[in-house]
Amino acid sequence: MSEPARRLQRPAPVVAPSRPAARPRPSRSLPVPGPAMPRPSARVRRRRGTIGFLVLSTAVVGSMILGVVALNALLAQSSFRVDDLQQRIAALSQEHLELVHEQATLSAPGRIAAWARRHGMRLPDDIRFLHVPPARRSIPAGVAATVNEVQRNGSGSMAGGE
Amino acid sequence: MVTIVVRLSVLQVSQADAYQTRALDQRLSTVTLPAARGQIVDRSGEPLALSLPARDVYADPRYVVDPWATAVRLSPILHIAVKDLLPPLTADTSFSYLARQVPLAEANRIERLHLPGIGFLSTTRRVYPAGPVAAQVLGFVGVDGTGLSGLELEYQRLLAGVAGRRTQELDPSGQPIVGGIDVEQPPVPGMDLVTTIDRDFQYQVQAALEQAVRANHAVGGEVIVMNPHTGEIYAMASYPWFDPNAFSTARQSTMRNTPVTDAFEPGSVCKVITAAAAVQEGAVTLDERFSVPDQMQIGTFTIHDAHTHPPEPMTIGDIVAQSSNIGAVLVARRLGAARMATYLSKFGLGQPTGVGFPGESPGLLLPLYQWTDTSLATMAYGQGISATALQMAAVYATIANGGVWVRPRLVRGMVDSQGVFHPAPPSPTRRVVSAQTARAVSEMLAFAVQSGTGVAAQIPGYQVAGKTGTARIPKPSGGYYTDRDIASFIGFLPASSPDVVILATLDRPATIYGGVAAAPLFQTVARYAIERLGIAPGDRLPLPPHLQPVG
Repeated sequence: MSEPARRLQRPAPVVAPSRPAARPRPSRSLPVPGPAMPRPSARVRRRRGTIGFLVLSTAVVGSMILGVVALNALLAQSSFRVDDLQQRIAALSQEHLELVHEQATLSAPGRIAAWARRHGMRLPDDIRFLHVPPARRSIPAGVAATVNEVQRNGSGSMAGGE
Repeated sequence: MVTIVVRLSVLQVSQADAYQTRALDQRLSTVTLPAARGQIVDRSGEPLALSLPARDVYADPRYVVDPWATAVRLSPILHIAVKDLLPPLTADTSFSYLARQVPLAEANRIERLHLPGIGFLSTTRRVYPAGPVAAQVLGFVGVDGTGLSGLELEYQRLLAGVAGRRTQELDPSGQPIVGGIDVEQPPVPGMDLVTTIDRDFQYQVQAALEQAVRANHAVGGEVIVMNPHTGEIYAMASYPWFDPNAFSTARQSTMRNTPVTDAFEPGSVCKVITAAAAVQEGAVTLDERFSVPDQMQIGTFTIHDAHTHPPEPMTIGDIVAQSSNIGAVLVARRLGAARMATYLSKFGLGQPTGVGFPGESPGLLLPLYQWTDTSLATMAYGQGISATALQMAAVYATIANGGVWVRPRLVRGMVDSQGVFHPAPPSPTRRVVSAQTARAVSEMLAFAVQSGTGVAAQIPGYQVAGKTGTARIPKPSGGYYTDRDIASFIGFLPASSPDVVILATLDRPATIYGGVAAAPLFQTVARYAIERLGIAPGDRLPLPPHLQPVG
C-alpha cells in the first residue's frame, strides 16, 4: 500500500509590482487584474473539501437509500398486486364452482321431470321402436315395380295389360 | 456490575441460541391449508357430488353482549330455533359452534350484522345437485369433509387430496411480520372421480323402481343395469333411498346400498347356473327328455314345483323356461354335488365381486364338506344359498358375455388437478363356461321370455333373454316364511348379442311371483335402456330343443 499523499508546499505567489492607475479600458472577457486577494488559509480549504465530500457522500448514500426504498415499494406494490390477483382467482374459482353447482342443479333430472309434470307433460304409456334398415339405392316406387315385373317376365320389353 | 455483565454474557452468548429458538417458536404460526375435495361425476361428466365453500359459525360467549337478542337475529338466518341457540351462546366456554357448514351467502349476512362474540371459520360443504339420484352409491361425507359411506368412503384418499401448510411469523396481534418467515406448502387438490353411472338413466331407473314398489305394495326393491362386456354399471338403485343433502335426518336403513351389501336367497334365477354347469359338463344333452313330477321327496323334506301338474316331459330348456324346481333337481343330480359346488363358485357366488364398494357382502355358499343331503337339491333352484343382487347380475352377465365372467365396476377413472383423465384398469375376467354353452343357455332364457314364466318381460321388436325368480325369505330361527318372498327377474337384451344386463327384484310384493311382479319392472327399465343406449334389435336366437308347447 502506497504512502498517503502529502500536501506539497506551494511556492509563494508572485506579486506583481504596483503600477500607476491606467486609463480605464472598455470591459472585455478578461478581467483586469486588480489588486491581489488574500489567499484562503489551508484550514479553510480543508473545510471546504470536507463539506464537499460530505455533500457528495450524502447524496450518494441518500440516492442508494431512496433506491432501496423505491425497490421495496415496488416489491410491496407487486406483492399487493399478487395478493389481489390471488384473491381474484379465488373469487373467480368460487364463482365458477357456484355456477357448476347451479348448472348441475338446474339440469337435475328430478327437477326437470317435476317441471314437466307441472306443465302437463307425461311419459308415454308404451314405447315402440322402429328400426329403419340401412338405405340401399334410391329408386322411385313405380320404376321399381316395373323393373320387378320385367324381371319376372324374363323379357326386356314392358308387359302391358297384365 | 460484574453480575450484570456475567448475566448479559449468559443471555446473549451461551444461551443465545436457545432464546432465539424460543422467540422464533413464539412468532411462528403454522396453519393447515385444506385441500379442495374432488368432485364425483357421472360417466358423462355431470356433477353428482361437489364441495362448495362455506363457513362454520361459532360463538365466544364471553363476548356475547345480549344472548337473547343475538339468538333472535341469528335464528331466521340459520333456521335454528331461538331456544336451541341460547345454550351455546351462554355456555361457560370460549368457543361453541352455532352452525356448521353454513352457505356463504347466509354467513355473509350474519357477518354484516357485526354481532359481538360471533366468529366464522372457513370450511366447505358437500352438495349433491341431483338429490337422491344414486344416493346409496355415492354415499355422503361428515361435517369434517371425510367420506362416511359409499364411493365417498371407498375413494376417500383420492378425493380428499393432500392438505398444505403455511408457516408465518406473526406479531403479538396475529398479523404477519413483513419480511419475516412465510413458507407455504400448497395443498394438492383431490382428484375427481368419474363413475360409470349414467345420471339421467339412474333417475329413470329409480322412478320406475319406486313406481313398481308402490304398485306391488312391496317393502322395497333393487335394480341393476350393467354392461356385460365391460362390467360397467349404468344404474344401481335400492328403494327406499335417501337424500344425501340431508343425511343427518335420513333413516339409517335407507343408506345401505343393498345390491352390494345385502345377500338374499336368489331362488329360481339361480337355475341358470345349474343349467349352464350341466351343459358345460355334458351331464345332460339339450334334447334329453326328463319326466318331471310336481313334487319330490329329499330326505325328510318334500320339495314342490310352483304349481301342481302331472309328470311332464321336459328338456333342460323346458325346465328353465317353466322354472321347474323338480326339473332343476333332476339336472343337478346328474351334475353331482362336487361339480355343482365348483360352478357355483366359478360363477362368483360365495365371494365378493371386488366392485370396490365398502361393506360388500360375499354372500353365503357353504363349503362342499358342509353340504347336507338336501343341499344339492335346494341349491339347484337357488335356496340354501345366498347372494347379493350384484353377484346375480354378474352371473347373467357371464352368460351374456359368451361365458366370461367380468368384474362389475362403478368407476371409469379419475381426473387429476391438471384435468388429465386417468382411466381405471379394465375389469378382470375369467372364463366360466364355453361360448357354445353360453349360447345354449341364452336360447333357454330367450325361450323362457317367449313362452315361459318371463312373458311379462317381452319387448316388441326385441328378443329378450331372462329368468324369473320367486324365493322364500328364510326365518332367523330356521325354515322359511310362507308369506314373504323376493320376486326377481334378471335378463339381457338383445338375446343374440347382449348390450345390457338388467336385474330387478321386489322385496315382499303382494303378487309374489317374479314373472308377475318383477318382470314388468325389468321391461320398463329395458325400454329406457334401449332408448338411452341406442340398442338395436339384433338377430333372433333359435328356440332350444323343447317338448313343452310354445306360446
